Amino acid sequence: MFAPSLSRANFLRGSAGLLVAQAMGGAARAQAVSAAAVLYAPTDYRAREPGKSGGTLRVSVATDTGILDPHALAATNVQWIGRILFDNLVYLDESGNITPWLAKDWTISPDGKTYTFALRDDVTFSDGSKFNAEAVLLNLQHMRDPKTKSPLAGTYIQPYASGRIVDEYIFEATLHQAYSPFLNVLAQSWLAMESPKVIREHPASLLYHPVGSGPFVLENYAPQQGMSFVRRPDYNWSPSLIGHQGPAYLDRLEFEFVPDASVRYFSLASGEYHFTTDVPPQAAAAIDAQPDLVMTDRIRMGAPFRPIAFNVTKPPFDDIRVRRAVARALNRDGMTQIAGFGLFRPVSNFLSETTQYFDDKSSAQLSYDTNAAAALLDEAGWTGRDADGYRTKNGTRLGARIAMTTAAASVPVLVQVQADLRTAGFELTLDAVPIGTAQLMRNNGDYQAMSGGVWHTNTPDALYINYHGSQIPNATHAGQNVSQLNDPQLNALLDQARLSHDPEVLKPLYAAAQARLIELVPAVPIYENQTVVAYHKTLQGVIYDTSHETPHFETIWFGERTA
Amino acid sequence: MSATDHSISAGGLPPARLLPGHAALRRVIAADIRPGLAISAIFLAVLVFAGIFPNILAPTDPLATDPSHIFAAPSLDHILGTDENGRDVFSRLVHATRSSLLLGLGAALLTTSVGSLLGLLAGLGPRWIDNIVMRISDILQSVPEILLILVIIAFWGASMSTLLFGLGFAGLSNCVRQVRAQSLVLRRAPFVEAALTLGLRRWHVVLRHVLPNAIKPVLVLLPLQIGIKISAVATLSFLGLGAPPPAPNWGGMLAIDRDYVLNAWWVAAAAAGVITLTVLSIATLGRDLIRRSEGRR
Amino acid sequence: MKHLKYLAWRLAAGAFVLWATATIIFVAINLTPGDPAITVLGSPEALPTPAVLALIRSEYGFNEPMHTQYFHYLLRLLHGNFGESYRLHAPVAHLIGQQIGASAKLILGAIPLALGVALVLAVSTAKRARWLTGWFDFIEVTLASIPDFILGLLLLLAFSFSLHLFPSSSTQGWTSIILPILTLALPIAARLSQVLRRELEEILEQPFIVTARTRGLSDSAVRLGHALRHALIPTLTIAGVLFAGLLSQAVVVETVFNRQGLGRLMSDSATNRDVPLVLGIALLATLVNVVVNIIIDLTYVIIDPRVEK
Repeated sequence: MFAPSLSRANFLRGSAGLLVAQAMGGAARAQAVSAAAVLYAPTDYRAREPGKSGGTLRVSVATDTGILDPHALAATNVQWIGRILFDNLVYLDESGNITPWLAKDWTISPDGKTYTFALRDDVTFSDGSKFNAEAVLLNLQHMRDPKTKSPLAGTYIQPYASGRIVDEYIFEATLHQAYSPFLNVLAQSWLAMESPKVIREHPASLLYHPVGSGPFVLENYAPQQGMSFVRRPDYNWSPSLIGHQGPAYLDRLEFEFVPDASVRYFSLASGEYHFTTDVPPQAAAAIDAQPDLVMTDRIRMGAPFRPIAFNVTKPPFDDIRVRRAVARALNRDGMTQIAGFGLFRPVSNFLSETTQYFDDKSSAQLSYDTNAAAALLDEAGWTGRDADGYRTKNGTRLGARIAMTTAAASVPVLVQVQADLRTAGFELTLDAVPIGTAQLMRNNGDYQAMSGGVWHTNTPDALYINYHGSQIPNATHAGQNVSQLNDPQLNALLDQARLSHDPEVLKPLYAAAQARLIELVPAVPIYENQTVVAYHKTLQGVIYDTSHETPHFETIWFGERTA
Repeated sequence: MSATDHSISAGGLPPARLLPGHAALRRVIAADIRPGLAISAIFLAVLVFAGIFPNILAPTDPLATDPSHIFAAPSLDHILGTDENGRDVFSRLVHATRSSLLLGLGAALLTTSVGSLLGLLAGLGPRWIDNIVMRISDILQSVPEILLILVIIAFWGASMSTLLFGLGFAGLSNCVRQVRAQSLVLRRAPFVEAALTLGLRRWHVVLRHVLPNAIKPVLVLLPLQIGIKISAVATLSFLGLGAPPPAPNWGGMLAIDRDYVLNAWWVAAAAAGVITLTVLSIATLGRDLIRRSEGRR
Repeated sequence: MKHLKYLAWRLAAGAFVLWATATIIFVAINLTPGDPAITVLGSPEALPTPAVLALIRSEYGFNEPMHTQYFHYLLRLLHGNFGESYRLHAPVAHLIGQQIGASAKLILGAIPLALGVALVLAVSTAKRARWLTGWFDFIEVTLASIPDFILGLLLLLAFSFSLHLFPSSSTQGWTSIILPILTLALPIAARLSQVLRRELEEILEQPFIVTARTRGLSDSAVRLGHALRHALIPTLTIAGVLFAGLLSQAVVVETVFNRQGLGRLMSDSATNRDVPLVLGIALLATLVNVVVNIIIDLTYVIIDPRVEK
């Protein structure tokens, strides 16, 4: 895990290296980045000094979520929208440990199946209803209710069996089986607490008029256009970890949806917006060149970006040597440069570097090495060559088709994957398929490879979601294990990890799981899942969320030169 | 076209617009060529050459990537620089010519041929066929074209065939109506009636006399149709519904590269320039064709 | 009586077109492979519980055979119920209502602008010196040829990012609508102006114009008073066709300028496979076209009864 000594200084050196490498092109970058884990400074998560109240912050955002009920969404934007409108039961610290928020304290029964929460008694929702044990009960029910059509929250609390109101401010949750990520997921914005009154009376209205207990209240939401929030003057229950209590500094927040990358950059630079939550990576150099703009890039916890996920049950990727050869034939640094323009960090592990229990011991086995790739393909019997330079075995050409969803923003990376594999003698064909078709292919296991993606969650349980045998997608279960991996050894490690809260137990379990995945190569991790924001230097108090690494708007205030 | 033209002229058919009066003569006497027309013709000739022999114009492999040289500025090695994968932009533009032109041409031909066929059926066939065709045309005219294309591509996926199919629908109802109106007029034209009374077989008259004259106005508009389709392909790519990578395609290049105007404005500018110039040249030629067919300058 | 009969016939034809549109799009969408249940959940990132998937499939009738789904769908439409958007979980009529105003503003701004620009250009340049008409002709052909989104991006780069005259995005007062209206109107104005100039040039050669001039009328009086009136009818016919395509162009303009509107709702719902919303918008657009066509035809009939065959 992260040693406290390895911190800001190290990371800054890494960043400086990035800038140099960016100027020199992709190749130099690999050396500039140390293999050690990244740890962001504790001050990134804590407001340092009291700020000045007032002002309206204008923010540009790439996409609209369409609806605003976090329980009914899987969208990335919820990560920061959640912190504006809502509060959660618990909050993480910067190392991934659980700290209090709306729950002051909690106990877990020895069998790991009963959680008893002691709740704050001074919290109200913006419609006046009280936060109490009943509110928690109704919220968990709302997430789980099929009518909510929850794409994420409901599944994250699937082991939750029933809740009991012990007294007004004591809530007891009983699980079907031990599930140690329970508290972690309760800290995520998708599992925020909504007004019990609205849930009881007209839950559908939460889609467009969400009511929470957060530092801001929704003022207006114009789909495809923007949304605005106003400060809640009586807010006084931030998580203690963020170092700020009381109402937010800003009077209002105005968000507008600006899908075009270039427009997002120009409108930030021209001062039309103070802040953008979605910096296009290609604008990195331009933003760096502007002295009055600040840009930060941060690694989200969970699974890094995997442009290609193999179907391990279908040829040619049922042969582990071919999978490993493909992984080693890919120039990770080149792809990282193509996608990240010096902002992203390459990674050869199945967990991101900032995730708790990240273990880097065996990731060198997936490093870029064309000779090793060639040797593996020879060993697998693909020794012939045809007229186009592709490898053959018994007259068949070595190749595969990858189904990529047309919405995937990673086309240049896939094009580079294809080019690198061509060099290795492997013909990869890119098939653009509509999302609905891709879903059907997933359900039926009917593909050789699929363009992967990222999976952000604030716990190493991301490995379970992506690679546990029970998570293979089918018509009734939309799992994320598109590699169709069902390895008994890995399943056992991940099952055991869900039973324990003890770091001494979890650390070796997750280390073994990561090592096993690197052996099995169900997909090829290329670069970290990063969030990149930029803002004008006048803004002070920009801190980041410990679960999502997205900005917390309640602590932001306008410094001297108010725009 | 002499035989039919003479017979129409002899028959004294009313819509003078469509018929070359003495313009045909004037065309022979003085080839009326303007500078814009000449430039357009040369540009299109180069495009056609690029479409047939891309490797002569641009020997660099349009698919060869180089991640360490992405968005290189124009230089002697890469006269239009490199793109987001370090590929040579000039070579990609040249190699994209064939598919871009063929897609435009194919979609325009599809619209024109299907439209002409339906129009002729409606104009010359029995009443019930006319009714069916006109209702189909009503439907096509009433549903916004882009919606039809969006549905086809979003639900069936973007491929050359779905693009061709979707774009073929665009403008179809106009074409049907034009040909139908024209054949209705021709059906009652004195020379057609004369031919029939002379005992010529009906299908022979239709084939030899009605068809060429009925579809002439849409044929004259064909170049403009091609331009419209090329522009439509680019627009679809802009909306994220273009042909899939990595094979180069102008609209797709522009769609991706407009996100990178900060890094290399010349890539997007080159693609936008080629698309606009192509459509402009085809329009210039097409307009000249119309002008000549109408006997005006 | 005759008029009423004609009207009834046109209304029946219009109803047929609406039914056929609903049917064709329903069939086209349902023939495509894909799992609609996932659409309801928003994205491939969705990780729903089996209970949620099962509920969605029964609630939306995905388990039923296609003809049953089609029958239910038509029945709902007859009751004026367009259904609920898969992705946005709100009634389709409500969502369309939310967006239609923005598109209407854009289109209603673009139509008079396009007509005005075309009139001024054509009237003032028809039958002038060849170099002058040559240049205007070139500009018009260029404007008509350039794809809409390139024009929009160029206007954005020039007037918003370089000169800072207009905001790049959309809610800041009336100035934000100027560039989108221009992008929509200019190519149409260019095409109209070409048609109109051609008509004017032909008319200006007619004997009655020469007579008017010999009567001592000024050039502008001849152009505005005599020639324009005759050139207007064919121009308006073309204008009708061009304006019918405005919704399609609005998709592009709304995307470039990041505006709210029906066009964006339409492209978003198609790319997200939001079937009820796609169908709702298609039916609305069809309805508008059908009604407009009936009105135009009736006007013709009233003006010139011979049209009614």
